[in-house]
Amino acid sequence: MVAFVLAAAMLCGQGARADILGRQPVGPQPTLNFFGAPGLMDMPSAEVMPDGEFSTILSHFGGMTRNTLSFQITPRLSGSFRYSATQDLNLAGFSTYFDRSFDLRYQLLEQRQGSWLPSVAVGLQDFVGTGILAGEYIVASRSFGETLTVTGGVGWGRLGSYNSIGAPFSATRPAFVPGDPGGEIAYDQWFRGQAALFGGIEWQPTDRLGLMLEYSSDAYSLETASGVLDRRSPWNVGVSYQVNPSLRLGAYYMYGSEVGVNLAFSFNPRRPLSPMNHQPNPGPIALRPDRAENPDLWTADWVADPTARPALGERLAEALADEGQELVAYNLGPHDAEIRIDNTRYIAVAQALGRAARVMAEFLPPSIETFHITLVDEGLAISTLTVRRSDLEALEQEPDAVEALHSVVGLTAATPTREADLVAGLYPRFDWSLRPYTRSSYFDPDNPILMNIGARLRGSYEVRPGWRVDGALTYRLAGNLDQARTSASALPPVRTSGPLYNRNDGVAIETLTFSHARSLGNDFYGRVTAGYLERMYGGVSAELLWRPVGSQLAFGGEVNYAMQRDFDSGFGFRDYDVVTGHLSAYYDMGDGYHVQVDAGRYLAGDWGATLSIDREFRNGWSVGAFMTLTDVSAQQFGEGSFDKGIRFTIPVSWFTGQPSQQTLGSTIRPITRDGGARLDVPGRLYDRVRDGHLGNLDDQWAQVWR
Amino acid sequence: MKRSIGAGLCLLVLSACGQAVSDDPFVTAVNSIRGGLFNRDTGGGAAFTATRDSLRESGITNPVMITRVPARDIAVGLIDYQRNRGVTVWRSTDGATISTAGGVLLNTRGFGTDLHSLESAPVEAALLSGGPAEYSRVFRAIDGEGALQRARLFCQLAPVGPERIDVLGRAYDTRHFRETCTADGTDGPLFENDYWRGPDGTIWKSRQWAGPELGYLELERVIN
Repeated sequence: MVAFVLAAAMLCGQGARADILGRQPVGPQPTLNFFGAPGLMDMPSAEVMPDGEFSTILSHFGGMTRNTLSFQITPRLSGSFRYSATQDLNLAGFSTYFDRSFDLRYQLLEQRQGSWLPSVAVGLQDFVGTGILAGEYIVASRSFGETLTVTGGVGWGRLGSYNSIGAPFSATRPAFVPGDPGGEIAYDQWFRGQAALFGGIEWQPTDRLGLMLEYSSDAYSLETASGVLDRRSPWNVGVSYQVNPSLRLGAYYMYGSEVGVNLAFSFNPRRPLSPMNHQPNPGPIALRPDRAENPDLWTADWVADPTARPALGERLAEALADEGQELVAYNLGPHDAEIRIDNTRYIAVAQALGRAARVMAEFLPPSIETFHITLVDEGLAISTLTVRRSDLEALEQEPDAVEALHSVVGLTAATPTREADLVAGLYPRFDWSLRPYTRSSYFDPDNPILMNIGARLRGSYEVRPGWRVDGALTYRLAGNLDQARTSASALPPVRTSGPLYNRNDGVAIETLTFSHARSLGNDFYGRVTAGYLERMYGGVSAELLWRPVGSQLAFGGEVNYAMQRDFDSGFGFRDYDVVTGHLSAYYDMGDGYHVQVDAGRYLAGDWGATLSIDREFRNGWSVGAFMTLTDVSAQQFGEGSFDKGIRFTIPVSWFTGQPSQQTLGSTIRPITRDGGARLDVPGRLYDRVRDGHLGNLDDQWAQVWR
Repeated sequence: MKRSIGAGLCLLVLSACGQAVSDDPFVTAVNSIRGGLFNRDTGGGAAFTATRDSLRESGITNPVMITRVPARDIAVGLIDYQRNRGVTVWRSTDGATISTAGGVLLNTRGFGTDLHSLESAPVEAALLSGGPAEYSRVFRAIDGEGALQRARLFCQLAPVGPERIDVLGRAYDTRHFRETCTADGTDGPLFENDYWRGPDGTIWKSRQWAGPELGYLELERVIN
């Protein structure tokens, strides 16, 4: 997945960083260092990447490889996740030592034009890992003109290990313990122990070329002791080159003995690889004939013709299908019309609604003035947009058409779909698809990436709107995922037994569920699901969600009875069952930030809570992180101490420029253990409901005329 | 890169054209002279080859807007398709449109990264008054993330002088106006538009900016 993104970016480069008027930002972008942070080579700087920048950094020197994913979470806050390998370190029983680590950086002060103050940043490196790379720093950088940046800072931990100046805050710092489960937030060591000064300069004579000189405060004590690195000098020099807006290459001479290389790929959700293509162009909205000149065309006499409604319904269904909108139900009155559609094409619901409104304007008799368009997701009616036809006609060619239309439409929670309105002959519906799938596992010490590929056959049978049977069969064609190792656990092996499910060769029943979801009125939505819920568990699940259509806040509750399935992914169950469930609070913070808290009982019977924070972009990108703390102790949990990870979603349309709801995504956990493990239930309500609600519609409203 | 996107768009639009099997008389009429009316670059540079006679023979009586997009190697005849409250929508066979108000470009649709909208009313008023004028126009665009962005442009319109121009073999006596627009934070003008206005106020010819991606559109209005 990540490889695919990288390959795409290397081939295409990425859209320029210009603003809407085509103006390029002034000056070169910051260089990413060996830790994937803005900086020099091994040392950080106080610079920041553009907001939302998502970078992958591959770096290698002296037997040490660091692969880092970095994300500029807010304009000032950034975070990194790193997978590093040190050859021949011979630590904790591994000849090559693999390690996962997280960083956070915050820019306290930003250099302003006309001010002498530099930018200042504070950073925590490897703050929840085993701590082999742990270090903290406060650093200042100042740019002179557009080409020269001078950086100086003070570091602790690893960054305070060479030529220390003493311990300003506390003399005692817990030592790095090889083989420690790690993963605990190491606040007891931050900014403690010996500190040292570091610094350097970067000269960027052109927008592409950078020359760097730095003085490193990292003594590489552990690595020099085990002969991995021969550290002869604190000085590093290097050159970096920006190949295209996405790719920056660097080559360095490190510590007087080693050559280092660095490849940094940067993307930004706001800079799609291909500009969005809106073909077929919807065309201008069909205008009704002038009423004064053609009064007979405006009568509602057509209502009396019994063939009129079915004929209009058929034409609507056909034209909506061309727009990727499935007509589920409709109700045509003399002056009002409602259609219920399932959007299968556009990520932006506003675009689906806008296109549906144009289709209505094209086919419906002039007497119909009010359009109601209800969004339906797999039979669950979510929200109804009401728009006056004369507003559509009057505003389309206005320069402020987007804003003006927004102020005259209304959005309400949808009522359940009436039986009488259903498109004749649509139910029961059967649908299927056959697609390739991949499944992967990361960070196995022997095989950092294991992957299976195969075919997945999906089928669904919808008896009535919202009453469904869904299933998926998978067949593995190739892969090495069966080599993934299981590890011992002090808890019931609710997730550590996962690799055992990858060892069968035949057809696997991935899911097979019966479900019903519906709106319960008063902003409540409900769902029940029974069957083989996920690869490892079957059982029964019930969910209740409260979310008003214009609300930023939602609450939900879910209770499940889950039984662990047999390893062969057939119909059988193992001898482990648990009642699990959560109370959830969801809050849309605005500006693309979303937070969720789930508190309850997890699969191993442990009690606790999960905090998830995501940054969401209007075009469907999201990048987030989550952590779960339960009553399982770090010792019982094992390596990593508690469950945590990062996740991201990238819409396929961002690569192709073609409208599609398909996304690529991944959840990356440094390690999968049994504590804080949640059941995966298909069809959870929140995302389905929120998609059609006001906040989301507002965010994507600019697409309404596209 | 820009070039390849243009070529891709071109292929896409042409294939869409091929599927336009329709009984719409508009489409039929346009298709009959598509060779001359609808040209996108195939290597030798796009050219608009239809003549007033070929338009007449095809039964096209509506006004036509010859639209050239040098940045995309497009030369296409767009036909007066719809009037909506003072705005004229000009449309090609494949559904690409531009909208003008009083001859001033308002938006484009279907040209790739389109001009979302550029306020036209202040220019219309200034062109009608005929003298030098200063005003502002709001430029709107949808950014890469899908958000609407606005920028206020500060413009000056100045008469250049009388000019006799030729539009598809017919001569017009016009006055030439030049509009210069700047944006905050940019040195020098963002764009310079040219308008050739007839005595009755009709803009027979113009060269107008359509955003950073499309660059300038060259427009010529043909009335048979």
